[in-house]
Amino acid sequence: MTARGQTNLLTVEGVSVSFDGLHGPVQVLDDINFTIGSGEIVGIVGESGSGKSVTSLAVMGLLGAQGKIDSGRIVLDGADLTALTHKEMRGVRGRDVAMIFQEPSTSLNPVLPVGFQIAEVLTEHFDTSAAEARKKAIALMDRVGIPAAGSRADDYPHQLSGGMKQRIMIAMALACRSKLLIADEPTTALDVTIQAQILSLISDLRNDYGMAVLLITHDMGVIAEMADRVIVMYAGQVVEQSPADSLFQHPLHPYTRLLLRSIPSARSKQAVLPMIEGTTPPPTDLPGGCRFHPRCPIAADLCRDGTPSLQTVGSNHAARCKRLDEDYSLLDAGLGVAL
Amino acid sequence: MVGYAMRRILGLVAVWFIAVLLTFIAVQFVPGDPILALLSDRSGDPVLEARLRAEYGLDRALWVQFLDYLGNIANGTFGLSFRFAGTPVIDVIAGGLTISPVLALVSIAIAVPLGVSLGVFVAIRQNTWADTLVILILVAGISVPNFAMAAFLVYLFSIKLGLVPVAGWGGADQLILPVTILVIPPTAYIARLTRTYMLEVLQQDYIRTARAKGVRERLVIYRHALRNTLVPLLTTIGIIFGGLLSGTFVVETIFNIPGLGRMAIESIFARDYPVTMSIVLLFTVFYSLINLIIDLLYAALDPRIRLDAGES
Repeated sequence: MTARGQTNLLTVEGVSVSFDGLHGPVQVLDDINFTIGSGEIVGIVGESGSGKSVTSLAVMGLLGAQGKIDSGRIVLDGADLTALTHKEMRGVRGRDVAMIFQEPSTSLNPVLPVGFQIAEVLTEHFDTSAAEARKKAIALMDRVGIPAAGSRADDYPHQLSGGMKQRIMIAMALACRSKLLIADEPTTALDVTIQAQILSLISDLRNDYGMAVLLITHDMGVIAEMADRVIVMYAGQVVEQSPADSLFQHPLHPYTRLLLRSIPSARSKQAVLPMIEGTTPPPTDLPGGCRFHPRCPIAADLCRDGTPSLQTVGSNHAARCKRLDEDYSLLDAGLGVAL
Repeated sequence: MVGYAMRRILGLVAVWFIAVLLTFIAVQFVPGDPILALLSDRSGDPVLEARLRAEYGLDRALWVQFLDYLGNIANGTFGLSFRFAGTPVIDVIAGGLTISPVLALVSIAIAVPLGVSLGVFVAIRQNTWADTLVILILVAGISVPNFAMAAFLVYLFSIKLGLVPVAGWGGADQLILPVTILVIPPTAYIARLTRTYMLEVLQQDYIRTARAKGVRERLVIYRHALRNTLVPLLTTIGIIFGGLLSGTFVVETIFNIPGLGRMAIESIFARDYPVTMSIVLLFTVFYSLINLIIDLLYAALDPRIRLDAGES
């Protein structure tokens, strides 16, 4: 069910993750399943605390000492990453999967020249000399659109703008021609014009190198522009999953419908941007039944008991809601949305 | 960088002048007449007293005495000692001139790498038994005063075990105990700070980036984290160095080492003000130069720090 590639590059299968809390382990991801085809851009959306960043860190093997994958498999290009040793996983990071982060300003080491920080990816993964790696780093900087790359390679991060720093991060991610790029809120900290440039750079790289992208964002606008397929997460679970056009045309889960309603539109006459009442529950205090029911305007009694499962509707659209089979128009009246 | 250093040295000259002025004023408030002390049993000889007063310039107006003192600093004699009548101060302290600075420099040269390594060692083992044990020892190292530690170590290693000499100066074996005692507190202090700073740096986004790039953990620590840890640590090393200098006063006295520290103590008891003043001044100059070097090192460690103002 991949939009572009024929094969699944990444398969995340039944992954649950917990972190050590003060009173024992706390589950933050519950049975996550999704795939990414080669060259495909898959977006994960959700509010803060939905588990989207933890999902990406689990794929990277960067959950830290407190985090643990309790069950499930993460298969990248045929290899189960959860079965790898720390040392083997280090070899995968930066080479097969690369990652860029939300804050380019704090994500680069302030005391090392940017060219060196790119070159380091090559010297760590391949038998490349420092001089050769530097040459390649300059070529990569040139590729991601940094003017006068040769002289900027010796600059330190504080000498570059936020957009330039994110380009440096992308150059790092590109260094080993990784098959998968995980971009965790890559444009959130940047201003709007720079956002557009960075997004178009990411989609160029996908087109030129066939790099698959896992794009994590809370911005439905970014998803609409970039993603082939979308995963909507809420409180550590996938609540909806579908091709992007299908999601925007026929969102199924009430949460998704409310998220889409909160995209500001230039044509909209609304004075106040609609929002979703309440906040994501903390993983230590999840409601029983459907995890979204306390905030759901159309929650019924059946939503309060028994966790809904992810049900497939049509060929490739799935949602985790007990009222999927009911009449849309009635539900929309309850949600106060017209989609 | 050179321009910055020159400006800083000019500033230091002002600091040194204030140090000279303050010590000069302080000595004026010390009770007791040095000339009477010098005469001792021959006090009551007004001719000799007047001759000595004239020789030391103590019969002149205070501001003239101050100018005399500045002149004596400029010509390198630092005036005449009271205790060794007629001897220039420089000849009195010449023997010890290098001992205290060398002791302090050797100690800091051992304490910094040792403290940093210990700090990194425990930081990457946070909350393990090794961490707890080392922290406990470090707290003891900071808390026990150096004279008490000296008494204990002399008793154990010199008297009971007979491994090293009790005191004295000249042989390499006589260096071991005094340097150990000077090294322990700054090492413990530096190790604790390194641990704290390292744990903070390891939380930073750029450390996550380094790991996401697949950088080996050893390089994550030593290439990416350590240098960022050293920047805040450097500030405290200047302060630690001051403590080390005053530590030489105690250690030199306990181990009978003929350095400036012991001479300062002796000259205070002997009311040999010119010697005391000169040693205070020398320590001020030494301490301020060390801090200048530390400020210059900042720029070498952290590219965000620009020493030459103007560009931004």
